[in-house]
Amino acid sequence: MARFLKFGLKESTYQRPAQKWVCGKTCEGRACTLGPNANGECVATAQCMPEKKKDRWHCTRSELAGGECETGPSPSGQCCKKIETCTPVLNTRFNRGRFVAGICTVGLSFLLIVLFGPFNEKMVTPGTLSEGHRSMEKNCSACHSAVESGMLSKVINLHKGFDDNGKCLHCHKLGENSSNTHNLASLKGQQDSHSCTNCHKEHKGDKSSLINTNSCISCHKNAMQDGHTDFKKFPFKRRTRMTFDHKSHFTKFFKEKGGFAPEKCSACHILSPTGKTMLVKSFSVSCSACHENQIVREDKKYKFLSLPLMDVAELENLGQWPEDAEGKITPFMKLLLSKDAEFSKAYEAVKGLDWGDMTDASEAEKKQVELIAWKVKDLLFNMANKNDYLKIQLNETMGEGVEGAELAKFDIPTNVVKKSAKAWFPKLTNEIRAYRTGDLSKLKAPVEEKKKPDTKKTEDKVKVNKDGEIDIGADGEIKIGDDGEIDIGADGEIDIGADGEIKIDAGGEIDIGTDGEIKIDAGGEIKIDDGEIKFDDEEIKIDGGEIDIGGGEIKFDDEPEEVVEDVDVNVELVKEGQWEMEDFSLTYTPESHADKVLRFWLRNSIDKKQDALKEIFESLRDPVKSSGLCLKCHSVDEVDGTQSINWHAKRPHSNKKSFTEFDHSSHTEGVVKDGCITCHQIDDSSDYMKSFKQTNPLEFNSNFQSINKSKCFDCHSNNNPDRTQASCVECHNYHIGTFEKTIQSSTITEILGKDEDVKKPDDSKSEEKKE
Amino acid sequence: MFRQRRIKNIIGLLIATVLFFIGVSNWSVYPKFNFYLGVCFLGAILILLSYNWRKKLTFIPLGKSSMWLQFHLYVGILSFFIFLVHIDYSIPNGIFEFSLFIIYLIVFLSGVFGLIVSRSFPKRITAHGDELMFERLPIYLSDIRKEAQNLVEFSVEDTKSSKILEMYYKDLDPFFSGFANQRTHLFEGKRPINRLIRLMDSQSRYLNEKEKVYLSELKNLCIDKDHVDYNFALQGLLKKWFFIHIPFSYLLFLFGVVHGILVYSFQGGL
Repeated sequence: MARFLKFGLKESTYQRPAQKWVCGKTCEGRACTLGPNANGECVATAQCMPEKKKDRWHCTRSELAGGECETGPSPSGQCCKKIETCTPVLNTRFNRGRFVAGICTVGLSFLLIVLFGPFNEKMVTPGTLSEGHRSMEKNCSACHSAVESGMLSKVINLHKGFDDNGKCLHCHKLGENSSNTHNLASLKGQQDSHSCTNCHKEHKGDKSSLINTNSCISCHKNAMQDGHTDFKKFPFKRRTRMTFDHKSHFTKFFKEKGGFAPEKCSACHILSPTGKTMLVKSFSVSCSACHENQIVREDKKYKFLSLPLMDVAELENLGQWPEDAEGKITPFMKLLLSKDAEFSKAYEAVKGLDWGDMTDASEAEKKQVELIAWKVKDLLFNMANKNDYLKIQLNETMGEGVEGAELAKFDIPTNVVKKSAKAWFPKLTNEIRAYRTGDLSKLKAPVEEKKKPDTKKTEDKVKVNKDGEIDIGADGEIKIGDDGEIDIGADGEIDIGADGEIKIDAGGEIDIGTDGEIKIDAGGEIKIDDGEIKFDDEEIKIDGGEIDIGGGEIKFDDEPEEVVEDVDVNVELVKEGQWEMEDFSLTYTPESHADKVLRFWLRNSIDKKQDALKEIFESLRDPVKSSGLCLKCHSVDEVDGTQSINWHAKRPHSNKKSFTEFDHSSHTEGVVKDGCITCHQIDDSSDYMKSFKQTNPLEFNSNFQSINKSKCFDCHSNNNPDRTQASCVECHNYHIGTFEKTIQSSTITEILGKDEDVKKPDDSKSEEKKE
Repeated sequence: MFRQRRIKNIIGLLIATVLFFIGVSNWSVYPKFNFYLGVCFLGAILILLSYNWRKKLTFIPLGKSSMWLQFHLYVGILSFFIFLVHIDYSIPNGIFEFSLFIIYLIVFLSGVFGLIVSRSFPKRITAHGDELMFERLPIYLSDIRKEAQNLVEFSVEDTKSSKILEMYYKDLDPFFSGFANQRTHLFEGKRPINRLIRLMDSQSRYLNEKEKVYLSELKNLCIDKDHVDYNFALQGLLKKWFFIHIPFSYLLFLFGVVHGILVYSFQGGL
């Protein structure tokens, strides 16, 4: 093999691997020593270039090529050894360069097809979308603003970046705090900006999760340094909304009533439809067996109206007042009279006095108490006789926030009020008339005189006897003359003319028209119509052929419209529905759990400024004595100075997201060995009821022991061989708050519409269309 | 010396890898980590690609080529870990990204192959015999063929026998006419040359002493030719793997830049 090691000018040719072109005969081992030129052309002509020395040409062939040839050059100096020309070929290195260029060209062509070809979106997409976004797979611009501007302008504007959060928020409504950390207003400015893509990774296929749970650690790294932080009072963030002491029920009440004791937690609790939360079953299922009869109790009626005790002997201008009345002004009455300045002033002045014994009271104080009494009568009269009086009065006194629709939920049957008024004040109408005209002196007259209705105004025209009839007198005449009589013509007859009208014309006639009315209009006519004789706004009703002032009324402007006669009222019968007259009070008995009337007053009296409403709320608040005992179980929360009643136990809001979310459905009995008590164990040392002696829901003692984190991490741990999911989002939400429901995936494209719609988010028309 | 350097470099690579994964475990939680990791990866590709230009731009004093090669090798290995983290240890779904994935794998695996052959083949060639200059191999081939033909023709004149001539043109001429048995040589196969030698040995019983001398010389030429073939096979592969590694490296960079632009444009909120 020594042959291979021959190197040298005479032993071997000089290799030039860096030259672009090589002799075409190289691969045959016959490369010429000259080689091709830089342009790849064969320049070989002869084996040597003869040299002329002293008129003689000498061969100059190199020794490597065989040395000086025998024949030598021709006389003209030409080499006789011609070289066969070749087609030079590219060197290996340059071949590789060509190959690189070729591959890059193919790659570039592929790129151009990818970016600008007809299927560019399909080519560029980094993977299939998740199931929820599947419908947008062919509409990249639904999520990417980069697609809208065209490829070239996109590259030019790269430095500006593309903020596509807005595209996400188009469907996923996160409210005004969407860019805040955890969407909380209180965490505004915690970080410059939050991109949806920080945590949500799309195009990972339909099976993959959209959430990159590692993102949580970027902020909560320190908290997680030694594993998950310890639970603090988990899972209790506040006291229960319903006051229910599990301990006392299980250790005392259920034992006393053995038949009612539930065997399982599921007797009172049920899984929510989402499977996340355990709900409390309804009152009728869980509580009514023991508590229904505590709500509907005869001895816990609510007094709406009540006649206060008055010193009838001392108070001269009191009019009629039941001596046996021994109540007091109820908060409800105070509310209705709260707009009456006279009443309020008088009440303030004498509220400290004993109205039942006014012996030592001054005249002024007596007058104030009398005024209060008259205001009460007046209130009762109005409630009995004016249809919408109660609603109007409540609307005025309860202030803003109580709308008509809400007010419609409360009403006191007028019949009960009327009958109660008649029972308590048989001559109420006359008394009120006298009170309103300021002529209380008449009220001191004998009862018989009082019984006569005050028809002063009509007596000028018509005489009414004690039977309530219009007395035509012995002469049988009704005269309306200067003397105040109704004159019936010179012939003493009431003529009914051919036209059927009774006319009191210039001739003194009364015509009865076909319409059956007796009218005394400006023309002096009396018309009979539907049995009434009308004097403009005043009425004289004709009943059974007579002018009956009993069932009907003679009404005068600015005077009481109805006359309450001395009627015997059977006290036992004054009752309608849950409303009842009881002695000198008008009471209400709750109908059942969730009684509408009590709920109305609790809802509309809580957290109100008016003293009367405050009194109403306080009167309904007592967990032992109040009517209905509503707030015995329904706790009252005060948050940021605002009070509210918890009408329900915790109910999951379908669109409300909180930091921690425990999925009860996946922790069924098959998973946790002992069922609910695996985690929820009653804390015997806790004073649960103490929490409800105040209104701050965050200050509480739970009925149950807090859950230790080991309860969770026994299973949810990366070290667990059976490894249950242990990612952050297994138990926690990032987006905190109440959000609108995300649009169904099938309708996303429909809502987004065509690209044009997406391009113009400010276009109100398209926005409306999307909405 | 080389061994020490390699140990140092491997230790350096291990430290860099450990530091990289510590960094990943700490920083991967940050939202844009993967984007920035991609930028780093593209940077690494650029650094790896620059080695090719370093070899072209010999006139600029940029350090020794061997140092560059070392740097190229270890950055290349580190780039694989960056790549794994960047793709989240999963195969991309999209057509374009999958193409990028395949291109990287081609470049990386061809690089690993190149590293293996460039470390093992020179030793094998040296162990086989003289290390021949690749560019001269055709000349050697041509020389040996000429020599063999001359030898055979001369043997006819000298021995007055055509047995060797007949044997040459029947069994040996195809072997001498070009580079042969390349695949066998890559796997250190000896069967083809052994078969020829056995063939010649089997013919020697029919030859006289003079002819046997020529046969012996022809056998030596066969062994020399086999050595040339061996060099051609191994050195050829040492050069050919670049035909995969280099063009796909450029393609990788090109695709990587486009991928970066697309990711930046479509990431949203960056």
